[in-house]
Amino acid sequence: MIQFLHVTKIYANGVKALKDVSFYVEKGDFVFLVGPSGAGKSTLLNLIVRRETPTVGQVNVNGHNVARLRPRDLPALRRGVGYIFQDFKLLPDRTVFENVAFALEVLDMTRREIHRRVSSVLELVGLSDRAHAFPHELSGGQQQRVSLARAVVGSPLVLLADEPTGNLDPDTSWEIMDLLLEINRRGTTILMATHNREIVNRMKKRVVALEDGRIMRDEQRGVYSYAD
Amino acid sequence: MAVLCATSSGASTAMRISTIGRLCGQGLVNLARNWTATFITFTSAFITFFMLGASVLFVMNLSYASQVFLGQLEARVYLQPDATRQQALELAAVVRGLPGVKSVQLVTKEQALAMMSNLTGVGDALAAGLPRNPLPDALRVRAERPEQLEKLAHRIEGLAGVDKVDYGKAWLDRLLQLARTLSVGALAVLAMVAVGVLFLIVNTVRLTILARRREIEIMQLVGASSGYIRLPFVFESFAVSLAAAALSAVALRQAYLALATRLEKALPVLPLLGNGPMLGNALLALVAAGAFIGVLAGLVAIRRYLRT
Repeated sequence: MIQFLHVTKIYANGVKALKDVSFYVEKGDFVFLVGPSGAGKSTLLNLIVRRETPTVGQVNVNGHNVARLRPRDLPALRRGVGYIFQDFKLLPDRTVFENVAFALEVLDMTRREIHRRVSSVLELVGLSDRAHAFPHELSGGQQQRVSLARAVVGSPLVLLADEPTGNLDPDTSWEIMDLLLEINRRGTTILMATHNREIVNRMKKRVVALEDGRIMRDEQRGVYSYAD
Repeated sequence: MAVLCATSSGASTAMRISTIGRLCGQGLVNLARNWTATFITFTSAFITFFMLGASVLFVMNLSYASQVFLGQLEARVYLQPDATRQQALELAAVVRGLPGVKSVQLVTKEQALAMMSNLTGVGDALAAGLPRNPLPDALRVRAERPEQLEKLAHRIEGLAGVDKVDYGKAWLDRLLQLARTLSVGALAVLAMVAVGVLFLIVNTVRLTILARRREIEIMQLVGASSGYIRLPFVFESFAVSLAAAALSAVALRQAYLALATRLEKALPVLPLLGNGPMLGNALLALVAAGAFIGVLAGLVAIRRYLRT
């Protein structure tokens, strides 16, 4: 599904974010990306949807070399990959329903189809009763669930999560993790970058550990680290 | 092509009409929401379109006036003093047959004398004091194009019975030169003003785009095509620019007609374009330019934000 082949990323300012990174993610996998800030986790996720391009090496998504896609094929790539962030990235002047519908309007779907899908995904994340609230009226956990609903409403094959629990308290974080597990069970491949030691250790999923732009560990049923 | 799409593999890049309508509506809503930015863009676009239109009208009047002046230029062909009236009429017929001649008018020596006495005011006394009319018969020849006048004059000079031809050589050359310089200069100024309008609108549209960068980022993230992202912004810039150009055309028409009426009273010799089809077409062209510049400015302004 996702393949990195000797990927090195050097930014224009000379910072080496990734150094010769190679790994493979199977369809339906759940993978944690762990490591200190600046280890290259976000860069790695951004390479998958071509918000960045590799300096050296190749990133393949579903068999396509992402760097070689024509600009007009990028939307199709991004429709197949959901993305959630630490800061939710919701549009403040739109309701919950509108924020989620946004992702489908872009696909040129009919009103009725949009309504059907948004209602169903809001039910999945447990926000059916807040459909007409605005983001500032919601708690952080609820906002992240809206953002998650927007990311999966188009049934993507892959979901990228960049520190999705970074702004949330532990209980709320677990609610989000339960949702991610449910989405993964339905067949979506998930890559999640995180600092959350407890979550990683409890979930017993594959762990790819980055440090200073290199992969230090890649283990099935791994833990956050062996230290302490 | 479906790179990775589970759901929208069938979705083509072509948009449904209803989507285009919705996006344009979105553009109008955005204009209303950011009404201060809209107002600033509209006002500055209005002022620049007014200036653009004013320079267009100035150029048009300039070229109209020079056409009128140049059209009035003529060559005077003086016949030899002993030529008979019959010879004069024959010569007029010959000249009329030359290529490039627009009109030929015979001015008999009697007419010339009468005109002269009218002009000087001492005509009758003068005429009475002269043993005989000293003026020759003459032809007034106009060319189809003022540039041809010199060549024609030389040609006529060689005809039998012609004493001399006077076509205001120094005047003609200077006027033609002036008309050419003025029209080139005016066109250059016009082009600069047009580019200025474009930059102004690009910059104001860019400001509204800057305010909505987050929206654009999310649109890209969820896989909106460039066309989809672009459309509301381009429509906004189109609508504001078109409205500003239309209003400035109306204002310009009123201002121009008021000014023209006054100028006609104060300087009746000045040839001015009136309230005719020329004025109407110029103003329509201004509105069309407004629509075009609006679309172009929107496209230029959003280009930078779509580069990913």
